[in-house]
Amino acid sequence: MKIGPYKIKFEDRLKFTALDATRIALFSVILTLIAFSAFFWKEGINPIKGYSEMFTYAFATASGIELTIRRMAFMLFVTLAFIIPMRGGIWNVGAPGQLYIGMLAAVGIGIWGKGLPPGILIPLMFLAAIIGGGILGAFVGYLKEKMNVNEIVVALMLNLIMYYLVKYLIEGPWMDRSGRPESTQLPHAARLPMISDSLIPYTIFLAIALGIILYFFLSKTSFGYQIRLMGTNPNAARYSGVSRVKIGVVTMMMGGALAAIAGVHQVAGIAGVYRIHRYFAKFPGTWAYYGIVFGLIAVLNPMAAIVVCFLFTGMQVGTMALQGRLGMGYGADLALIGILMIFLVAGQFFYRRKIVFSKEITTADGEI
Amino acid sequence: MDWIFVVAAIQASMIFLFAAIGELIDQRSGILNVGLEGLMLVGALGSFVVADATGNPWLGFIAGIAAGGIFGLLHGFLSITLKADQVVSGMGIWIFALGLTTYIGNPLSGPLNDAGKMNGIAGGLTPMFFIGLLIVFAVWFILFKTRLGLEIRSIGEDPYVAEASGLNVEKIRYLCVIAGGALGGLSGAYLILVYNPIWSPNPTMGRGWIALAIVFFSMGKPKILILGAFLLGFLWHFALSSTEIIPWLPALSYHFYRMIPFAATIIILMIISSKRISRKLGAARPAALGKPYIHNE
Amino acid sequence: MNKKGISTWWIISMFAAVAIIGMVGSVQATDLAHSPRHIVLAVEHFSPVSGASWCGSFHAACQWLDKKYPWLDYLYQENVGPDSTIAVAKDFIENKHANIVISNAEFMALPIEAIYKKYPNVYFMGNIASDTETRGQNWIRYFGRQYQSQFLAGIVAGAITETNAIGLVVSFPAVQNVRKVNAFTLGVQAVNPKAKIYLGSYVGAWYDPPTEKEVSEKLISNFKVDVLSNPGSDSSAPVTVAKEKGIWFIGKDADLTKLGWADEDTVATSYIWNWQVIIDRVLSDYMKGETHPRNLYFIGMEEPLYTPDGSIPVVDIANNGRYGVDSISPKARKKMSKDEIELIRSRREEMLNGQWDPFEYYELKDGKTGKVMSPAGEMPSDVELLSKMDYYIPGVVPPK
Repeated sequence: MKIGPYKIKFEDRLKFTALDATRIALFSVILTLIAFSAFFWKEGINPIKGYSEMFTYAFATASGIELTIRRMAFMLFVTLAFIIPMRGGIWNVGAPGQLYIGMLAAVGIGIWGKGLPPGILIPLMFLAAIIGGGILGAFVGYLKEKMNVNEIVVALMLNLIMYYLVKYLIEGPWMDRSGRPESTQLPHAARLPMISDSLIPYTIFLAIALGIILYFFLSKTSFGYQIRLMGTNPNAARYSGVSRVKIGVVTMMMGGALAAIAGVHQVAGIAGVYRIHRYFAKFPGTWAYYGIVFGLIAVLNPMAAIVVCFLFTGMQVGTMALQGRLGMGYGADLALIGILMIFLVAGQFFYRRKIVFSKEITTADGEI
Repeated sequence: MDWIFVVAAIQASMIFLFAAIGELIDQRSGILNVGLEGLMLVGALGSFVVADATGNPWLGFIAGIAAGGIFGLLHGFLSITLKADQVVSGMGIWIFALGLTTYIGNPLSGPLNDAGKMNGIAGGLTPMFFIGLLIVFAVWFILFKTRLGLEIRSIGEDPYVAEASGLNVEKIRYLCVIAGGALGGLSGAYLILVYNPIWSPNPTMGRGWIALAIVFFSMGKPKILILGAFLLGFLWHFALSSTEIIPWLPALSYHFYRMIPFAATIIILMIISSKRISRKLGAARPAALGKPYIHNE
Repeated sequence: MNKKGISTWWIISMFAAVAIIGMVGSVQATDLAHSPRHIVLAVEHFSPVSGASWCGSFHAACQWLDKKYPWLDYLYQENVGPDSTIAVAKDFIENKHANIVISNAEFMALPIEAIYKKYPNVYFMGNIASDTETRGQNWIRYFGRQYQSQFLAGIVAGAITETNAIGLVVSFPAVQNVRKVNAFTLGVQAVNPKAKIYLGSYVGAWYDPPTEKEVSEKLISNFKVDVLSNPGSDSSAPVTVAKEKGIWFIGKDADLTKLGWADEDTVATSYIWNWQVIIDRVLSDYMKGETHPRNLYFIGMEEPLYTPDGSIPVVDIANNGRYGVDSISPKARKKMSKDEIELIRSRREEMLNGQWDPFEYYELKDGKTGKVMSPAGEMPSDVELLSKMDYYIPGVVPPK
């Protein structure tokens, strides 16, 4: 292809650095924002005003930043739940199911342990969720590595099974007595403490700490190295004696546990709700899938995921608020994430390739 | 169990059937499209908008098919030309379609214009039921009785060998994703114009994932796929009136019946994972499924 | 997609992006002029307003007020979930200067408990489903006695059924649904003691068009119902099925013919909400500057809103913009006797005057055990009606 004096062609990348990834992600985001401007035009809103309202609400108002941070903790857990197994070469699209099992464990333990002090009850809830999510994840990992069953299909099926299980419980045995289709409310002792006066539970620190710890786990420990080796070069891993099954099961177990923690955060960390609300169990899973999007933007780096989750949760929160602020139609936030996703997928092309502009004869002088 | 039940169950089955047979074409050519739900969503919205405005269900069907085809093409562009991971691309298609249809469709929420709905001709069955069956038959015929079908399947098995024998892998794969997308769109259109002529956010409510389950469950064989689609359609409605149809069944909540297809899919996958059993059953599992085809220059 | 190591670039560039965005944002931040006689009414809807009868009727009421009062501004946000209730309410108050914030579902009302004290100058309104206790000085809980209009609609249904089978689409076995079903059944039995009320299966959601459709079809095929209503679900799916199968329908929450969901050949009448009745009372309290407004509304037809065009009761039966007896579709009216029509007219009149209530007049018996739960002539308490009534009266056939 030729533009003016320049010749454009695609070349294979020899190496792909985090900086390249950042550029591609930023480029996708910019394209998304440009494309999304069409939605503003359609509604008769100046895009600059639209975006400023969006970012102002999400990052610069007291109520918005509170929601952004609380939701970010949730997103960070599900993003990490996607990242860890993916680094070992396994797709964890089972976050919704693992999330549901975390919710069930939290509420089950919370109600069963009525009367226990918070110091015992809350750790028990986390423990139960981690075990539940871990088992669900490990099941998928085992099927994948031991029996070579497609992990994506199995996880999707498990999500749907768990969805119906949650629905059955909150409309049946666990239903609130006065008759709303939600689980019984958690006792006070089972509610997560909030940071001083705000409505942000301490799980946000847990989420950030996990992001940092998992980063060092992957980059500095020998087991982390084995995981990465399995993800990048399974043959080399096999020759060096790393067990596929072990990596598969353990990473999926970790992923499952992380998503389950998001479930605890969701039921025990939202003021005034403190139950499995029917909105948390919508078909088929909704937000937990965003972990995939955010994980890809962060190019599977747990530390980068912290920043990515903060920014993009903010964008989502801000877009949601556009209706109340500018009269934007419902669903704009979903549309924004959708467009972002498409550009990111397209951006993957440049993970392997780069564009080379060259003048006739002269060599490469620029790249994207 | 009476005729109304049977018709309702058949109509539910048709939704699964169209989407699943479309996905089968994709998968036979080695392309996995987990964004089936998204194709159905855009097909549903396209058909709703057009049928509501024109009052003509046939135009609605055409629009639904076209919308599905365009999104199929998008999946093809991302996964064939740009060689993105097929799962990421499929997820992207779904999340994109969910957002887009929710936003565009929201002001239209509510029942379809009366004239836009397709009415039954034979005992509640619509003309589209019969045309749809013909389409499914045609797909089966093309895939298994024609040269093109053979080419598609050989590309799914090993694109490198196929390329070496002179086939244009990319072209045929594009053909398949567009056809698969169009059938996904048809499924969404059938949902909106025949099954439940109402627009609501996310009207498919996970039916795309069920169709995906059917494809895996069928081991790539259209005959099992058709059987599976009808079985699931009946199970779908049976879940609501199990004790009225078979009085001695325990009064289980319908949720449990709706779990069955998903659990069954996992079990089937575990069974055919054994090479020996899978060969015995003649299960087709395109070896190249899900892998981008990068040809060497 | 392998990445080695963390790149400081990553962090730096992302934070730079935030900083730039934040700066642009704060410069552009808008501030509405806030004059004391300008009232902002902000509503959090739990579902979309179009295509759903509950939020749709609430939206219509707010628009009605918006048109009536030039000094009123109506803001809203659709599909607010339980976890964003507080954030959205705070945004309305802090950035849009909302004076009255309404959450139109109980699950969105309860979280308000955490914040209402912080904003003493704002009125919060929260819908009641079963809980009447959680409320405060400036936190108003409200609901209406919709069962009164459901009783009237039940009379119509009982009169026009030929198969003596009436189907109701219900989301869950929740108190609020039980109460509606019982009131409807009392109406049916007032004119047709032989009729049975079938629930089929529970839908499992307020708003789930495909399942609502499936349950409606099941009611028709398994129980041969020829009158259908959906006291416990929100979408247009049931009325669409009724239209398709050529049976009668009794609309819920909104005037379905006026909404254009079906015509009078299908919709015999609808039991509707006029939410403006309650909101208007709260508005007038606010305009008076009440610091202790009335904070509990559970009102029936006896407390209407008086307007130049006549009084509007909070609940009523309506069809195509006509109210009361006139609302019954002409085709349905032909199937009813003079006595039946007279009964609707007189009961409605008595309820408008506050002299009569179906739950007071009739004996309420548990259909399963046969135990008398509330004798005739005794009015069950509000708590009983809102959060205790968990039995269907005889004549109702609940799901197995």
